[in-house]
Amino acid sequence: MASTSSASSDTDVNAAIQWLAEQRKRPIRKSFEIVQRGELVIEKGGLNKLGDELWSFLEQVGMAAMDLGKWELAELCTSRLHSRFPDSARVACLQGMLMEAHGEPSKALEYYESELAKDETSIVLSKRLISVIRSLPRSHPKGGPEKAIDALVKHLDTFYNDPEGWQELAEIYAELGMYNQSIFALEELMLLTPQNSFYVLQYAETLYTAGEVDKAYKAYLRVLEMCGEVTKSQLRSKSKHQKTQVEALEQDGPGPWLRALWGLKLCTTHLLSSKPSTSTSKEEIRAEKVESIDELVTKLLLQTAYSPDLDASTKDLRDSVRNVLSVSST
Amino acid sequence: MKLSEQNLFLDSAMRDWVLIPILIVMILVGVLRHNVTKLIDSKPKKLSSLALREQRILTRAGALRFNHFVIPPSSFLSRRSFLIQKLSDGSYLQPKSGGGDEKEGGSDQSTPNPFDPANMDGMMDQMKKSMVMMVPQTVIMGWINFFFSGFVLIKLPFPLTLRFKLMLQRGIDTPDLDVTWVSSLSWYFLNLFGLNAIYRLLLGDDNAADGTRDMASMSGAGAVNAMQSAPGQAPDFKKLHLAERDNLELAGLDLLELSDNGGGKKNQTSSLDAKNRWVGDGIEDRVLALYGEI
Repeated sequence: MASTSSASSDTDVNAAIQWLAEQRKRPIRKSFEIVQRGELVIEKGGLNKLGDELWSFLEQVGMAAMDLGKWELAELCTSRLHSRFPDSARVACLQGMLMEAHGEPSKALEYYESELAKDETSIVLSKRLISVIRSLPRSHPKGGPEKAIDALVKHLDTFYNDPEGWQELAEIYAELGMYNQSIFALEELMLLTPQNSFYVLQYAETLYTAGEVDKAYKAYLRVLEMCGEVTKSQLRSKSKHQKTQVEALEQDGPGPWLRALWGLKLCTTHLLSSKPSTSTSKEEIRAEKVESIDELVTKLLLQTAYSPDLDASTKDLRDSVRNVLSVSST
Repeated sequence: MKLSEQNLFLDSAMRDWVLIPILIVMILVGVLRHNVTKLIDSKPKKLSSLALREQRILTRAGALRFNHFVIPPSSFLSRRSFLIQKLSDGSYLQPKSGGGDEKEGGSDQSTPNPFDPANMDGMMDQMKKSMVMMVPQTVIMGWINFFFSGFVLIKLPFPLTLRFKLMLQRGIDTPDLDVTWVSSLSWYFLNLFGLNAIYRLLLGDDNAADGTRDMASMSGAGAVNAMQSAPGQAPDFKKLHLAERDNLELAGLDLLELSDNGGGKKNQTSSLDAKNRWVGDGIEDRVLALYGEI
């Protein structure tokens, strides 16, 4: 009996270690599960089994513990890491995050600044500093979105190839309603990672919001083109498996396809209604092309809403489709 | 055939006190060297943020050059002119510490000072590493030469041609001895070159125990490497920036020619800016074709 229980706890620990290792490769933040399994590993003395993985394990569990407010565990992990890597910027980040989690952002800000003075090329520290600045209210002398923009611009001037930084910059600008600046940042993002269709979608939406419908139209089309092949095969597979369209789109949806369709519909509606003014300014977008695209989009949207696989619960979807499409027809 | 029949009877004490000790000492020295190298291995030198900035502007220009087709032409052209200006006036260059700005374009810049403290660090590092390699090898070789010179230690189980005599019977001057007999000094060399697999087993893949790698880098290959790395340590960013600027200027021209060949008819009337092709050109047709509408 004793032997079986110890064996099962052994397999438990091993399974937990394996699960945690897999989790480290994924962007999903499952703090509760991570802490649960991390505590199991620590209690059962599984730390010796980790070997070189110990340090990434401690970092992972420490961060998750901060999310849950388990200060003792978080401090245990951080201090152990700090004693092993006293000069590491990554560990310094963890310590700063611990201060942030305790609700002391100004202290964390000072800490990051002093650490950055020691190692000015640490990209992780610089990013943490910016996130603290952003999270601070405007009333703080060093905080607020404007200060965050200043810091980000300086950051990106040095670390140009940091897509996350550009993304953040675009987001802050858009928050402040500075859409043209946001568009600039998104263009840089597209230059850095031209294969990501979600960035193009964000670009298109920002353009539309800024009123640059011509460019938004092109960008939406680009999104459609980028996930076009996927859509075709998925539409086909859907009819085979008798899945509802919405379900399929939610589960293994073809990226930003549906969203781009809606955006494109708005663009074509706008373009067709204000045809005379745009056709003179930009000869590239021709009315007949817009019309055929409009037809295509309408058809695809109707397919999404009125496919025979859908059940009655999608009345809202149909209503909204009808609303949008009726605007264009009038 | 007479040679192959010759029989030597080796004392088993020779195996216990010479063959195995040499092997063990070699392995232990390898492990020791691995650890010492790890200990003296200095961290890679950190770049200052200005040096990083100086490099990243090149990345930026490169990204623009390669992926400019994903952004609208107007955005591309404004970025292009911005980068061309910044690259040519050198505002992204790291400010030089010395007053060497006056000697622009002189031959002085092409030959970096070999005693520059920045370069000395790298040289010192290499020196340390090769010392860690050289010292134990010299000591062991001296030890073997002093105590075990002229010992025949093992017999290889397979026949070899006469050419191997020089390699396998170092330190024994008997021309008639069969080639398969191995002397102690040769045993040392066999170990030196053959223990790599054992080190990999003991210390993992990227170990510093293997002496032959250092030796290879010391001779021929090392000389070439040193020649390349000396200027490579401090590349002239001023020149790199100017070269990148030229590339950027060409990127625009390239596009102009492309659009002339491809859709010349369509773009004849449009302005120079609109001629730059990007993904937005003709995208309606492509999307329509994707859904089989045309």
